[in-house]
Order: sequence, then C-alpha cells, then structure tokens
Amino acid sequence: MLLHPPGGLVQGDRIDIDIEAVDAASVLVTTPSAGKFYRTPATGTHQRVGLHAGPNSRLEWLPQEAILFDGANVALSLDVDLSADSRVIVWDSVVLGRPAIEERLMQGHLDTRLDVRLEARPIFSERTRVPGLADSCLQDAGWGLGGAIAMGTLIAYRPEDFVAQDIEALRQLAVSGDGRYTVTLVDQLLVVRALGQSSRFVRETLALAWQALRPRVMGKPAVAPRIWAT
Amino acid sequence: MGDGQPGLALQRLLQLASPSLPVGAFAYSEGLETAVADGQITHVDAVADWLRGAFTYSVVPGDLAITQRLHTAWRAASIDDVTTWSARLLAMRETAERRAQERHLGHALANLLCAMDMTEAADWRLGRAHAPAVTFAALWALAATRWQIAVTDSLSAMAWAWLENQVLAAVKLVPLGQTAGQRLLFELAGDIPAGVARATALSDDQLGGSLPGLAMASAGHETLYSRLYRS
Repeated sequence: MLLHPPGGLVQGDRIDIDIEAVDAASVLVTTPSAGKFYRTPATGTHQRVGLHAGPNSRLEWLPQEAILFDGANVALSLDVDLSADSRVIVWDSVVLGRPAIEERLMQGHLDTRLDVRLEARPIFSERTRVPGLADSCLQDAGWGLGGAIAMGTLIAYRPEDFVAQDIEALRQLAVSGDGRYTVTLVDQLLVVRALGQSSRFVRETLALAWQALRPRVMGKPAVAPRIWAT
Repeated sequence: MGDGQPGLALQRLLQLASPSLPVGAFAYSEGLETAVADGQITHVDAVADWLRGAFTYSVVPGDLAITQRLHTAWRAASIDDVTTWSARLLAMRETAERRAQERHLGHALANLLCAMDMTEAADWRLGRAHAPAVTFAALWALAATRWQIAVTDSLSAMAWAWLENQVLAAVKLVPLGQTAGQRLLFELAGDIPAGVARATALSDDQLGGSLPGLAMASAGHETLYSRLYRS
C-alpha cells in the first residue's frame, strides 16, 4: 500500500513513483484513498508513475482515482515496462471536479498519458488532454468525454495471448449505473475503457474487470484489498 | 519519379491523395459508423462537430505531427528513425480495428510503391523486415519525400485525404446528400492550414492525442450488429 500523508497535491508539487517487480516477484500496489489535486492558478502539478515488470514477475497497480478540483492543472504520466513473460494488471482513473458538490472542471486542464512498452518496444501510447469547460466543449462532446465526469482505463498483459473468451468475459460485466465501457485487444494488450456520469461507475467497472481478469492473468482469485472498503 | 521537373511534385501529390489510390481506405470509418448507429450523429452539424474534434485533438498532434517527423527521417535516410516514429504512431492506435487499419493500409501502400519501382518500400511489405512497425503514414512520407513534395503540402494533403474519406463515410452512413457532403468538406478543409501549422510547431513531448469518445466508438464497432465498414 502506498501512503501519501498530505493526501493532496498543490501548486508546483511533483510526485514521482517508481515500482519495480524484479525476477519472479509478485506485488499488488494500491492507495488508501483518492489522490486529490487542488486548484493551481500558476504552475501545475505533476505525477509520474513508472512501473517495471521484470522477468517472470506479477505486478498489479490498482490505485484509487485521482480527483481534480476545479482549476487544477495536472499532468499525469504512467509508464509501464513489461518483460515478455511478466503478468500485469494496471488501472488508472480520474474524476473531473467534485461531483458531491456538483463541481465540474471549468478552469484548468488535465494532460494524462499512459505508455506501455514490451521488452522496450512501444505497444500502447495514449495521451488524453482535457481542457476546462471554459476553454473547450471536449468534456461534453460525444467525441470527447460525452458529458462523463469520470474516466478510467485498465490494461492487462500475460505471456499467453488473450483469446476470444477472455474478451467476451469482459464484455459481460454486470456493471450498473450511468456510464459505458468498451473492451479491445491491441496486439497482446487487453484494454478496458470506462466513462461514467459518476465516479462509482468507473470504479465498479474497473473492479469487476479486475475480478474477471485476475484468475486469467495471475492464476489467482480476486480478493479485494480490505483498504478499499474503508 | 521525383526527377524535379517543375510542377511534377503537385501531380505526384494529387495521385497520392486521390481516393482512387488502391489501398482500400474507403473501407474504414474510424468509429463514425458506431457513432451514427448509437444516435450520437444524426445530422450534418453533428458530423462537422465530430470531425472537428477528431482533427483538432487527434489528427493534428498524432498523425500530422508524426508524419512530419517521418519526412525528416526519410530525407535523412535514417531507417532507425523511420521505424521508431512509425512504431510510435502504431502504438497510438488505441483499438484492435484502428491498428489493423493502419497495418492494412501501410502494407497496401508498400505493395503499390514497390510496383511503382520505389525499392525502399519493399522492406515494409507483409512479412518483411520492417513490417512489424508499418503504418500508412510511414509509406506516405516515403513516397512524398522521394517525389520531392514539400512537407507542409504533404501534411495538408494527408489531412485532406483523411477528411474526404470521413466525409464520404458520413454521406453514406448518416446519410447526407452529395451536395451537403461537398459543402461540409469545403467548410472543414478551411481548418487544415492552421492544423498543419500547429502540427509542425509541436515539440516531441507534446505529441499524441487520444479522445475517449473516438476510442470507444472504434472499440464499440467490434461488436456492432451490422457493419458496412471495417473500422
């Protein structure tokens, strides 16, 4: 479990996290609460996470969501380096504004990247820029976030190619609530994307996808870390 | 080819950007078919909005910015740089169908250029040395460079070819009248010069543009009940 006692990032903060699963190690990393990114009128905040899955290792990175307060300027980057025989499940999710007080990201900006390399070759590279509503209609446009206030991506890798049944299992998740999700396979990487009208929809979709995938990727049943329930 | 005769570069560019180029680009809607089927796009203004969003946030910082770098790499005859940038663009295709489209069009253009005696294209054919990193953009940039086409003209034409293909798909899917399609093309092409200028001004750490709505429309196409298009 990863603790960041201040619980939030303010202007000019920069956090770097590197996690390496060395030969044959197994690790599941999560966080006890959502990461908060406060309003940053001048310089932005940065969070960089580097995950390295060494030979024959098992790595799960399942942090709770990042919450951007209105006016936050945030750059998030997640780099995942896979060894050919590693097993990995990673998710990443963001909430724009504080839905409890009906706040949206009017001012500010999110720039979030997810780059995955397999044996040092790039196999997946996604970069999403979300301007505040005052600057762009992207958050509400169908081609953008379609009015969603939460978005999340889960990726999974295992040495054996995923097959049609794996993808089908993920397409049948019993998700309820307001939102939508899709599943695709890009080369050897399974990708689940969720957009929700609530942060709960995205959290549940990713958790259900993880539950369906864990036996298939790690060969172990999914037992939710107790800290998620607190 | 590429012998520098005045005016010839324009002829070559028109040929490269023509919808009659036999690579099969007309078979791909890039998620537009899903957006129409879902009821997200029902009229011409919604098409314009969708294509503007895709162009501004995805085509400019992705396709165009990387194609410019591919030009530089081909001009320097640096195959390492070509494969690096091409692999990077391929990694940005976030769905199974978009990635298959990129590879299919890349291989088809490699075959065509080979048949037109551009020997450098040979290694990008299916099963050949550079095939794993193949993209349509890599082969487009090869042809454009060897045919002495200026980089901004090449990027403008690539943007035009993308736009024309998307508008033709919208004409068929929404559907729109032929005249409405031409008016839309005329209007949206007005954004291309500024988009090309923006693409060429980006630094390497500003590259890339994914849109959740586009990615999900493309992924959703895999399970669409009835499909005219391959993406």
